[in-house]
Amino acid sequence: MGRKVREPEYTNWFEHIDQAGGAVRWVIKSKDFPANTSVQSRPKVRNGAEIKLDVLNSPRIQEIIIEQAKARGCGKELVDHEAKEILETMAHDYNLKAVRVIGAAVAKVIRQILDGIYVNFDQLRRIRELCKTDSVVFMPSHKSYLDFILLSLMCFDQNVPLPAIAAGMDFMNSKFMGEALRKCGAFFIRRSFGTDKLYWALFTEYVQSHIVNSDRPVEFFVEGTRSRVGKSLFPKYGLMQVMLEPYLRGSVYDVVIVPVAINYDKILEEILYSYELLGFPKPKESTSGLFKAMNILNERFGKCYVTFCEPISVRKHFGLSLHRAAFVCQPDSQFVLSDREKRAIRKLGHLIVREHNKNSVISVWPFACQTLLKYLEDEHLEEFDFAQLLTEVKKQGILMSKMGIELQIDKSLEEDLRYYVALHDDLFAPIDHTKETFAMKLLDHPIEKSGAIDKQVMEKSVGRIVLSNYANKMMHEVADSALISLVLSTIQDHKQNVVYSKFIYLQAALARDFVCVPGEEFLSFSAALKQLTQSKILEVFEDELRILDLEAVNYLGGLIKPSLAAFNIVLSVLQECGDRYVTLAQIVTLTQLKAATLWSKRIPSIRASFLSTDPIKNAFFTLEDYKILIKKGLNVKLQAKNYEVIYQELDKVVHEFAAYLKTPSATRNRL
Amino acid sequence: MSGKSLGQTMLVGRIMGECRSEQKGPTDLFTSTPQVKKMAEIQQFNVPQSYRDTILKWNGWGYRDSFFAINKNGDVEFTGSRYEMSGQALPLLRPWFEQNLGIDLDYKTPSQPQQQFKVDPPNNNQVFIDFLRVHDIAYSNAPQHRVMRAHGHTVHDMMHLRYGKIPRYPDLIVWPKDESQVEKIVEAANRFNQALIPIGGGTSVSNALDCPLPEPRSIASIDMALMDHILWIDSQNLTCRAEAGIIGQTLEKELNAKGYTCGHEPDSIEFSSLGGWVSTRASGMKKNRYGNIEDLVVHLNFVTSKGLIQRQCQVPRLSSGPDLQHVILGSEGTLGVVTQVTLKIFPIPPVKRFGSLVFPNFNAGVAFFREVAKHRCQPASLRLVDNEQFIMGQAMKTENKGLWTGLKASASKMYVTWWKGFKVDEMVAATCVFEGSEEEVEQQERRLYALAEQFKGVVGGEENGRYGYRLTFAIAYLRDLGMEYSVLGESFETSVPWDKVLNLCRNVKQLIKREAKAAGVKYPVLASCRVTQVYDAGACVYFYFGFNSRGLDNSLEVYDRIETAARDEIIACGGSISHHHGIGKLRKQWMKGTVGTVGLDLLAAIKHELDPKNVFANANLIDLPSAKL
Repeated sequence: MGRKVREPEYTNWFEHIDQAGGAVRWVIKSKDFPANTSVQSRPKVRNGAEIKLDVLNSPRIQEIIIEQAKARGCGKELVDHEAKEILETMAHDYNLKAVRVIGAAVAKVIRQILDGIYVNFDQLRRIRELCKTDSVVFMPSHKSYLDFILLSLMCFDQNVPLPAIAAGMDFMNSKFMGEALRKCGAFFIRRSFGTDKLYWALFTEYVQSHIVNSDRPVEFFVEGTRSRVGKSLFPKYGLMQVMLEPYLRGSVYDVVIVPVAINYDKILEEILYSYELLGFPKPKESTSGLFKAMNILNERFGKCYVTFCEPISVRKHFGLSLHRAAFVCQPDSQFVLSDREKRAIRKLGHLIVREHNKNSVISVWPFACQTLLKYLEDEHLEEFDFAQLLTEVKKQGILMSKMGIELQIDKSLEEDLRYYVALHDDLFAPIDHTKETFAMKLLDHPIEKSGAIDKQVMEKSVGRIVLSNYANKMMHEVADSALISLVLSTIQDHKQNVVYSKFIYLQAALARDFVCVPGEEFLSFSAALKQLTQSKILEVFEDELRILDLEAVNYLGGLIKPSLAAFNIVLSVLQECGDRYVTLAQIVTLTQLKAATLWSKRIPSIRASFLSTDPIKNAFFTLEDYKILIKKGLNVKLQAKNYEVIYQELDKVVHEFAAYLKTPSATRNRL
Repeated sequence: MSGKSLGQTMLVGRIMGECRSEQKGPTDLFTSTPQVKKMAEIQQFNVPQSYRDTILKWNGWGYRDSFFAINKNGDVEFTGSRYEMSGQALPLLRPWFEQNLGIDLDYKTPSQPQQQFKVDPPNNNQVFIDFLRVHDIAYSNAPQHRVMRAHGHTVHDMMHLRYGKIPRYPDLIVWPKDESQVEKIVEAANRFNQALIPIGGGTSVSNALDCPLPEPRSIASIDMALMDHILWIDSQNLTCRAEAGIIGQTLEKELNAKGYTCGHEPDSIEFSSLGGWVSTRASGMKKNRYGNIEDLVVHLNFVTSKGLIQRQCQVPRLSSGPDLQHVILGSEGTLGVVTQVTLKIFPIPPVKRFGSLVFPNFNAGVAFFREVAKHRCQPASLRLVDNEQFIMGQAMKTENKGLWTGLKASASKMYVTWWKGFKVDEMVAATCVFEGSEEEVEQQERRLYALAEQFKGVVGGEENGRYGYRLTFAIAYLRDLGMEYSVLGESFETSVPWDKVLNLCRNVKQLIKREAKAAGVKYPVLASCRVTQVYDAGACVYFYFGFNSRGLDNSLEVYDRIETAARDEIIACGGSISHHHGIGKLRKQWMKGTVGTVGLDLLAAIKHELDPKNVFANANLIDLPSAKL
């Protein structure tokens, strides 16, 4: 486990630029983008305008326009006009010349700020061949703006047709950037469009038109938005369904999904994310913001790894499990998916996230961050010594290799660790890297106003959230083993079936924090158990699990415990508030407030990084999944959705959680 | 084939004469398996000299004297004198075969000679045979008769004949000469524990005629060949009554002589029988004008184990509960024997004309067809062939056409490709048959061609239309040619709603090509389709599929895998289990999905009621619960 980046499987893309003689030379190379010739020997690759026209003239859109005109009691022309406008805002305007101009600039900048982009190009060349026979959908992991820029650059480099990218409307806030991206093949969709039937129809038809006609690959992010937290987000299903529908209704022979795992040593938006996670309104993606961002382009951002995963043929994947014959009793125009089919599609979303994780490159830095968090957060130390950090990371490295998890180590663990500390030294008080060892002290980050929450805590939390985001980057590898370990270290009864039932409970409770595959609970348990027994951390004796390596069990359990602790604050906030109805914003603020108060009291295991809104929201929505929070209309005053709290059910969860958070028992009592 | 040309170009297959003497003794045509040779006493009585045993091939399609062969110039030539193209060379066909299926003239896979073909000895049910004898019913257990009635025309059947042996033969052939003899046979079979399989023309492509291997009883094949008479023609009501064994072209020729046509023209009309049409729910090329078999049948007699089923009157329609004739139509020999049928007949239309249209691509052609169906302006026959078949059709042109025809063909080609911008590798053709009075036909043509213009259709002339239909009868002969050079080919059909036609055609063709490649086929694969019928709510689609099995050691397995996957794909794309070939044994696995569990139970219940001893044991349509056997 853990993607190892080595030559010759991976090569540094910068070499291609350098071989070409610079970004400009690289970008003006003549290109040979293949078309899908499986159905027609000379297929027409439509330009942006032709696609728009086809979409408008499609039966689906023509019908909805008539239907809407009738429903609204207005003329058909009015709806027609609206449809055209929506489409104008949405559609890409792919243009190779523009791609070359923009590509040259972007390539130049990237060449400057990164130390290397390592890509498994052979796989991408295979995908180029696939483009000749199938509709390809790229589904990259999403951690940065750079994701789709890099993907397009790699495609351009390898003569793979540049994808049409489903991007969020917020990218268009900057007119210049928006239009530039549009010319590179990005199209823009509203983040939410509720029940706007016309919009839904246009968007569906637009996306499917690309897939059915196989003009160029389509690219979209299964996580829906950039993950600010270093680990995968819970997949979004809507677009997934739209993408798969053409296959299910037989309009294409197959759709081939290519998951792409993109990992960064250092995320461009690092500090920005931290502020966002604290709940500061997200700065608009404006051009001036971009120029501000240009300033940080003097910094270095380390290496980036792009892994094109094994293509997934949707036809093969669903095989007989999603039998298309179930759909054919309905006319094409009345296509609906049953719950069973929706579940199968959702599961695929989770599988793709898992594929991203499996192909993620793990450096030593997440382990360094775990260590720093443990000492600076859980134990509230002011600073930490590099020499000690090195020792701790080495220990973890040994444990990981015992567990069969491979870390990406370029030179040696120590050299790598120094490289990463240097790369991230803007988080710390000045460091003299020439020294053998040095103290590492997190810097405060300025906060303009903080409302009800203690400003000082907020200032301290920014850097800690950054660390916790990086620490997350290794969690997918150990989450299941960590859950088992946590259960074993807190529950007396170690019978395998007892541990398994607790495991399932916790895995589901944290399913939004650590994305797993629904329906594969037992498989994941068995795999984790195998990992733990093979590495001699546990043994199975008759029907009992026995701990062989208590230190490892405590370490692993400790990795996942903070997530439970953060969840627990949300639970206690809900219990304390006692209101019949709550809103999300209200609970987020109360939780942050509570976490800040507890942290200032230096309560062990309470972290400043708990102020991050992401785990709070995850807990909130998990409770909604559990039907402990039930959507009940609108809070008019707050202009937000009201949720009814089902307290009896809530108490059950609190009770269940208490067992795992007992040590130190004081925490729970004071909550 | 036009109705008019039928008589001129083909020999009509009638019984050549009957031999009234009793024969005993071995035959030299087929070899009996050696160890039982001494026991294999031939029992024969009144064996008729039927066309099936005298002028048809034993191991391929059609007449013995008609086949495609490579002549000394290396061109494909069609032998014999029965068809319009007989004796002519088709210089474009060999290159087409080489290009599209990768055949090599030096790599031949010829059939075993007839003398080497092994036939297992019969399992004689002597009481039954003696009963036949007493009742003056003709029979034979001679190997040459049993072989000819042991199979249909699937790829498996042909492979068995050419390179192996048939897994199971009928043990006896009986030739009833009228309905009362059929009744006697069925009665005796019930009494003496004899299994029966009726056979009409023997053109089944669904393994319907294959004798089930697990059947422990002796199996007798009821050959309907002697029951081939028209009983009466009623010019008042425009109906005709005929015995079920009559062959399509015989029926048509005799009706033509009286100024009528029955209008039912399946591609197999030269060899298939009236009873076969009824029991498989057949469909004819000109159904747009005349209807399918279920529209043409007015009345029929059906002999079952429980007795005769027939309506008491010959009326155009009646409301008397569920239509029992529809239980018989499509029963595929599982419930009884069709003995007599009253069919609608029509005065021969004064004008019959071919026509053709060329479209820039398949999508445009299908859109045109959909519109034709909406306006209900389809001529007697209307077919759309895809680009692959369009090109294949072109390769069927004969060499000795006059200079003028050749010039015209190339001029029109220039017109569509240069002037209209059609691409040779994308354009498709529609072929049509118009029937009616001169004004009617002219009006039909005008209307159709005007509509075609909206879909960028270009009128392609009568000659091209004729070529299109030529492929219809030639294709089965072509398969035999392919088999000589290691090519396995088959055709299959489905029906599909309009909104799913394009998806189905594209996906099935894709699937065939991809599956073949995945199975290790090393040469180009032929996957082609045509839309052969238009209905108000959908269309019939017909696929041709062929591949070169050279280098594969499991070619039949590969073939089966592709065919099964193709049917799965058809069903997944919204198509049906069958439009007119029927189920037989080949498509039984999809029956449950098609009619549901309750539907299967209902069919089994009907079977159990009509044939409690499962005398009609061809095991078509459904698998019977073994407890009920």
